[in-house]
Order: sequence, then C-alpha cells, then structure tokens
Amino acid sequence: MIQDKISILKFLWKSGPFHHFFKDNIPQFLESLECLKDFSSYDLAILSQYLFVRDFEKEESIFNQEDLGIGMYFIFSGKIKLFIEESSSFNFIDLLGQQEGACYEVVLQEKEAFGELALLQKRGIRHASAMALEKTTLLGLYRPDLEKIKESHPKVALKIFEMIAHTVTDRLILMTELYRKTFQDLNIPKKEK
Amino acid sequence: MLRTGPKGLLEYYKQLFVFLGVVFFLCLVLFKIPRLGIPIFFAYIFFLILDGTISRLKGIGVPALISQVFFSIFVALALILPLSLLIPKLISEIGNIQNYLPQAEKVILEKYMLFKYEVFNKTGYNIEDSFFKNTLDSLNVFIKEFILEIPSSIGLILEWSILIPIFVFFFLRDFDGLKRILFKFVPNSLFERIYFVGNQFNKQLGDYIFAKIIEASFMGIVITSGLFFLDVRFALLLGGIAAITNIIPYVGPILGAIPALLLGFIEFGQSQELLMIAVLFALANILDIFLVFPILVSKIVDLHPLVVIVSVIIGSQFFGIWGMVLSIPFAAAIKLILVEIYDEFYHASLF
Repeated sequence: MIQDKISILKFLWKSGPFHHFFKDNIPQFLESLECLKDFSSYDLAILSQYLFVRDFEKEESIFNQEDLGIGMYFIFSGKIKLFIEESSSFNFIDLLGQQEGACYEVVLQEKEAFGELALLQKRGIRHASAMALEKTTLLGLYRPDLEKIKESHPKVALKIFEMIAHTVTDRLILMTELYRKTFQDLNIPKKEK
Repeated sequence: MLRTGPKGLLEYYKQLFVFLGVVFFLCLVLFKIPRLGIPIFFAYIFFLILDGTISRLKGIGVPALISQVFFSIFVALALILPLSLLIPKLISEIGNIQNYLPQAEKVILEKYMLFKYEVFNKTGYNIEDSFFKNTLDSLNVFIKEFILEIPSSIGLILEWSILIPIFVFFFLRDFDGLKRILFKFVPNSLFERIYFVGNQFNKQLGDYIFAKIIEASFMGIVITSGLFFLDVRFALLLGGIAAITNIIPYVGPILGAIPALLLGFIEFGQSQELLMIAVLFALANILDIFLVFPILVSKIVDLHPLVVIVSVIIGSQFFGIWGMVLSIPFAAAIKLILVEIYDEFYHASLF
C-alpha cells in the first residue's frame, strides 16, 4: 500500500535525531510504556495520531468520581493521584469500618495509564477521582477515536482491547486476592458444606 | 461539580470564555457570509456522511488519500451532473410557467366569478372582491419574485457545486487536525463532556441529513414519475418542490402537494385527473410514513412529536426554511446537552 509505505517513511523520518517536536515524541514515549509492549512501532505511530495532549496544573482535577468518562489517559509527564471518596456508593469502605471522610488513594507516575474502563462502557461513569499532584501532561484516548481506530486500523484496535483486557484481568485477580485476604483478616467463618 | 486547579474559578471561566468566543466567532463568520458559510456547511454535512466510509475503506486497505480524492470527485459529479441535466429543463419549465401564469390567473378569475355568481344567486350575498384580489396580487408578486430569483440562485448553486467538493476534500483530509486545534481551547474540566456531546451531535446531524436526503430523493422520484405518468405539466418542477418540502417535518408534505393540486385544479377542474394527483401524493406520503421514515429517520432522532412541531415552528420563526429543515437535528442536540447538564447536576439519568 502506497499510503502505508508513506506512513512508515514518515514515521522513520520522524524517528530521526533531528526531530524534537513534542507530538513527534509521542510514539517514542508510547514505546516505553509497559502496557503497550505488544504494540509495534508502526502501531504506536498510528495510535499517537488519535491521542489528545492535555496539560494539567498542580492540584487540578482530571476527573471526578461519578463523572461521565469517555477515555483513558497515559501519563506523559508528572504525577497524579487516583482516589475514592467516602461519599460514593462503594460500600467496601463501610465493610472495613473506616471513619467518615475516609479516602483511598493511589499515586501514579510517568508512563502509567488509568481510566481504561471508560473506553469499554457505553456510558462510562468514573469510579474514582483523579487529580494532578504536580504539573502534568496526559495523553488521552477517547471512545469516539477508538471507534474510528476500530474501522480504519482494526489490528491496532484489537491490540488496544487486548491491552485493556490484560489490565482488567490483572486487576480482577488482584481484587480477588485482596477480597480473600480481607475476609481472612476479618475472621469471617467459611460456610460449611 | 466544577473541576478547577489552584488558579480557581477565574481560570476556568477564562478558558470557557475563550472557547465559547472562538466557537461563536466561527459561527458568526459563517452566518454573516452566507456565500462562504453555506458551501462550508454543506461540505461539512458531506464530510459527516463520508468520513465513516473512508475509515472503513482504510480498514480494508484502501489508502485514505485515494478515498478522499475519489469521494471529493464523487461529490462534484453528484452535484454537477444532475444540475447540468436538470438546469436546462428547469429553465424551460420556468419559461413555460411565466407564459402559463397569465392564463392560470384568467382561469382562476373566471372560476371565482362563477363561484361568486352562484353564491349570490343562492343566498343573495355579494362577496367582496378586495380579499380575493389582494390574495391574487400577493400570490402573483410572490411567484414572480420567486421566478426572478431562480436564475441568480442557479448561478450561486453552480458556484457552490464547485466550492463544496473542494471543501469536502479538505475536511476529509484535515478535519482531525482542525478539531485538535479547536479542542485545545476547551477547559480540562469540560473536555470529555464537550468531546462526547460534539461527537454525538455530529453523528446525529450526519445520519439525519443523510436519511432526509434519501427520503426526499425517494419522494421526488415517486412524485415526478407519477406526474409524468398522469401527463401533468411541469412534472419535474413539481416533483422537485415535493422533494425539497418533504425535508420539513409534518407540514412539508402538505406544502409540497399544494402547487401540484392547484395546477391540477386549474388544468383539469374538479375531475378524475385532479383526484388521481391527490391519490398520487397520498400514496407517496403513505409509503414515506409507513416504510421510508420508520426505517431511515425515526431511529436516528428520538424526539417527541410535540417537540418536533415546536422546534419546526421556532426554526421557521428565526431562520425561515433552513430553520425548519435544521430544527430537528438541533433539537436533538439540545436534548443531548440538556441530558448532560441534568446528569452533571443530579448524577442521575434524565431518560
């Protein structure tokens, strides 16, 4: 395909040492992400065309719990905090008997990704809030663009879905372990057969 | 809940103001310069219709540039070919109608005098002529102005038929880049919401206009063929009017039938031919209501009939015919935005 060859040539040209434009650095940055390790350089060049660059100030909110969510983010630079607020309907907090106003948080750094569940849901609602802890640049991939990738580059879309499936599976296994451990710590007796 | 950084609400409102300002400025420029705004608007509609197909073709290995060039040429041919075939015929029909109008006026006057005489004989009441004469004069002025405007409109349409494919090509090629520039102005806190609503709106507008074009073409073809078959004069012109007015919901089909019925009445009087014309319009509309509309249009825009009627009236009040045509997708967009606002404040689904 002529277009593909041109795209590959463009990609090789942009990979050259004289190219230091920010947008041209995106494929190189994506290559360094663990979650995208199965993507070829060409796939990443395609993916980078569909990403939005968003800059956040220190302590600026990225999204709020229960907001409409349509995309996932890769942390290009900076640091963010994901947290669940007590007011949410998530009663795991009650189960652990925490005090009111309790807040569970996790800090994510450069080269990590978050918010991928919103890409899979028809009307994605954020289950946690996210806030920039310092001046942060994020690369956002949104559902309408994923729909476009699905049509124009089905192989890349398949890899994105695989990546999300792997992340979700890992998280599910982790949650199951945590759930089991929590019940063991609370000494809840097992049901007798 | 507003999401702001340490710079607070002021920064948020500043960003929002700049974004809305840019959007308003673009809309104002397009609205104030219709010679540029109208072809850009139509090119945008073509872009919305074609963009998905180009993505799908890219998915099966057709290079984007080839599809972009192909579809731009296709749009050019789709506009220029029918125009080059229709315009000479339309001009000849308009010429004929100019000769036909005084005769029609004479026939209407005769029928009116006959009717007035009958009323006077039966009831002894003498109908005042002023109302009839005023109506006839206004109708005459309207038709003459409409006819006089057609040649200049044809020139403009020819200009647009060259400009639209050029804009379509650049939209297909560069729209993603333009979109990214515009969305740089959107505050972070509103980005996902505006991007979602914008995409939904584009999808609805593209699908709706595409469905309406198919529906109008169907009506145009059925009515023109029917009128040709019934050997009615100006079949092409009347079919074209029926197709265009069909785009307007509810009142459109009635508006489209009036010229043909009026002409039928003048030509054939109260006869079987007039009845056949009425039956033709009724049949075409039944096919449209029960077959074409449910399959094509109703699934795209899910609005209450009352909302549709109110939006058509509001659209016509402020923006005339175009307001009537575009009122439905805009009403659907407003519904979408209202649902989002409701959701933002109450964190619950409105529907």
